[in-house]
Amino acid sequence: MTAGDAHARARWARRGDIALRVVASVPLAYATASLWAMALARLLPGDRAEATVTAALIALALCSLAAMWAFAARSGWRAIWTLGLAAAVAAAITWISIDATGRV
Amino acid sequence: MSKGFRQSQAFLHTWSGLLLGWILFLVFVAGTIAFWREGLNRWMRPEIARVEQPMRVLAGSQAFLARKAPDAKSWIIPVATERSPGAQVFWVPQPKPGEEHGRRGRRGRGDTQALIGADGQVAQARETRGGDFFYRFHFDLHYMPVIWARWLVGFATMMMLVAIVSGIVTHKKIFKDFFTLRRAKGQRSWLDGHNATAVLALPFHLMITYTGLVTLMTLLMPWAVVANYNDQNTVFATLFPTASVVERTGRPAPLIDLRLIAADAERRLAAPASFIEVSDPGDAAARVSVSQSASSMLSSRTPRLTYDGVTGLLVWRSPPPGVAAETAGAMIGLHAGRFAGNGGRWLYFLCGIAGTLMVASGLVLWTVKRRERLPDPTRPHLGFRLVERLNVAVIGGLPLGITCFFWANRLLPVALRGRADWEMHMLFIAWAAAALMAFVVRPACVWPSLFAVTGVLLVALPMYDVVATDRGLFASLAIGDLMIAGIDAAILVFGIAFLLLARRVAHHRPVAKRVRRARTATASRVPEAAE
Amino acid sequence: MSILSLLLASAAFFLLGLATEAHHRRRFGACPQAARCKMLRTGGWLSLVVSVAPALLARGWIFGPILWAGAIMAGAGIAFLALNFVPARAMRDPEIPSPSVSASSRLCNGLACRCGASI
Repeated sequence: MTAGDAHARARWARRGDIALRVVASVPLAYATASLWAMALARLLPGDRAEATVTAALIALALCSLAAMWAFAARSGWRAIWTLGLAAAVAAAITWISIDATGRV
Repeated sequence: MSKGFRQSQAFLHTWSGLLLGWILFLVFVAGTIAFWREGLNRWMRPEIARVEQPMRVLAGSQAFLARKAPDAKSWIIPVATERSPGAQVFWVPQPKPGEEHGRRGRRGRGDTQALIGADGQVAQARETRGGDFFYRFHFDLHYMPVIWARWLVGFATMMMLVAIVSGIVTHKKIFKDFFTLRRAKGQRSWLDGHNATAVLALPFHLMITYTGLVTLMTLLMPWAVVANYNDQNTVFATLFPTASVVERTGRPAPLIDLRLIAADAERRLAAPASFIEVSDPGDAAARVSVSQSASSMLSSRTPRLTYDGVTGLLVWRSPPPGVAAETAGAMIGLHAGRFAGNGGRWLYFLCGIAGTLMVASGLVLWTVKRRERLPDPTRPHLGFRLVERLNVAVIGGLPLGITCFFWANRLLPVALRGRADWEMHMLFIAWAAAALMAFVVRPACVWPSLFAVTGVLLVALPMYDVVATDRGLFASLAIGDLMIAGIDAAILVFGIAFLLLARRVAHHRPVAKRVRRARTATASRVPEAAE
Repeated sequence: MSILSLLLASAAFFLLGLATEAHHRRRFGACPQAARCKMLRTGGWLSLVVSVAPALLARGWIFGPILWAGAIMAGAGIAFLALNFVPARAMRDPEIPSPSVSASSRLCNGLACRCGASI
């Protein structure tokens, strides 16, 4: 492999990494934040309407933090699987909770 | 913080700021102007008199609506204040048989709304959207369905929030650097200007961005509702309670004088009223709901009282909201700034200008920084050219468009059909012309030209007012109408500022690059952190 | 009361700005000593904290913090303008020539005057 090839591969690797981070920071961050909105809405104690509003307010902030994490993580793949895991946990919590007590 | 983290956030800051930066510039410009929307509502209707007696306007509104729409499903009457041009009343006709809701008509359609002036009669004023245009523009944009616009603006706002927080995190000596202003140093000066406007009003920027998201919360983050409720109506009934709906009886009964109800409501609320909604006027089941004015409290979700429309007895009072609902309301109230008196309004306005300058300087900084790194400055790559031209088109073109909007307000014939729409078309036509110029002619020529034309037109506007309207600067000062005088004065100041800016830009010579050793062409450099 | 809050906030940022090498050198013609630096910074932060009280007194617990946020932004702006645009001659020995802000920071770094890395 020549030096030119190595350069080209490094450049594409970097672009790929950035592409992964963009996926992590836009659709995945929003999805993770939304799922946590749902989980928090289920988990927070008190009146349901209140919990709903609180959860939504928190989720808006979480979305931007998730987007920051997408770029701070050591690699693009790491950003994706960590956010994906967080999303999955939230989804599980929501599912179990709705299954147990249903919705108003 | 590790260098890698800071670098990653610097990269994020640059791109999250740049990609939708032009939308953000538009939002900031329109939103900042919108803080003076009431004043502009009056300024753009120079024929009408100031409101001295709000109750007279209310009585006139009731009389007008009783004549014009006696069998409407509902009337909505804003309570006039001395800031407003009068009462922009509108009504919802009865639904035709088979329709569930009354035809409300397209927003802005003249046939179900009217402006009642200071004397209680329909105001003979030119048809215009007034300052309300800027308010709507900054989240509904124009020429597109509002849902798309709000998604776009919401997305841009989230990127803005990311840009702000990543900008804070990436800036190592944020407060120390705040005081630094290096002049005539090319990229460094732009960076200092960007930092100064950003850090100076940092509390405002953080607040306005996050609360902006909160105002669009039901659209952007509806999932919390989905998790807890089968349908939206239950939660909305809890969060935005109203008195129970009564069926129309079909028996006519005279509607009580609304002034009595307004007076009673203001006494009970110990605060001014803002909106009066009458449902089924003229019917025995008529109800009158009065909302407290948002100018009297922080939360935008103000208490409501509902009265029986025939007897005038109080039948319902809105329950106090829960903490979370009140917090969300307070956040929306902070964003809109309606609670602010004149001093507060000026502070919001100045912070908004700082925000606009922050966005603009950030966009320009991107090109200045990269121009120094171009391998061949006469043949820049496509991305650079695109950003540079968009900068000229938006930062140079939008102010010109807005100026032409104001001129259209003054010059378009009063009898023109769809006059209000044509004022807005003029804004976009002028903007499009400027944008075309921006893409066809060299930026170095277009920047000063656009600023100069904008400056000249703005300076001429208060002069026109003095000559051709009876609400010129001196006339307004003479009758003590500081709002109108202030707007004319502010336009004059902005005009002078644009002229000075045009001169500065015209004489600008790119700062001589410091002599550097020839850079080796390293293909994949890690992006440099912003200093 | 609101004005008091604004004045305290402006003073706070003025002191904090003076504590930076560049502005100190520009106004006083000399690098700040460590002790002086500390004094300026402490004074600045103290003034900033104290400015909360008049704001709360003026407008209560809800609008007070909003007023304070406005005061610190306005105060920072005033201090920024004063530090950068008011001629330096006003404050120091007229014999010593007044260097520009950027020159000040270069000189200060060259003479190894230390004021701590961050505010």
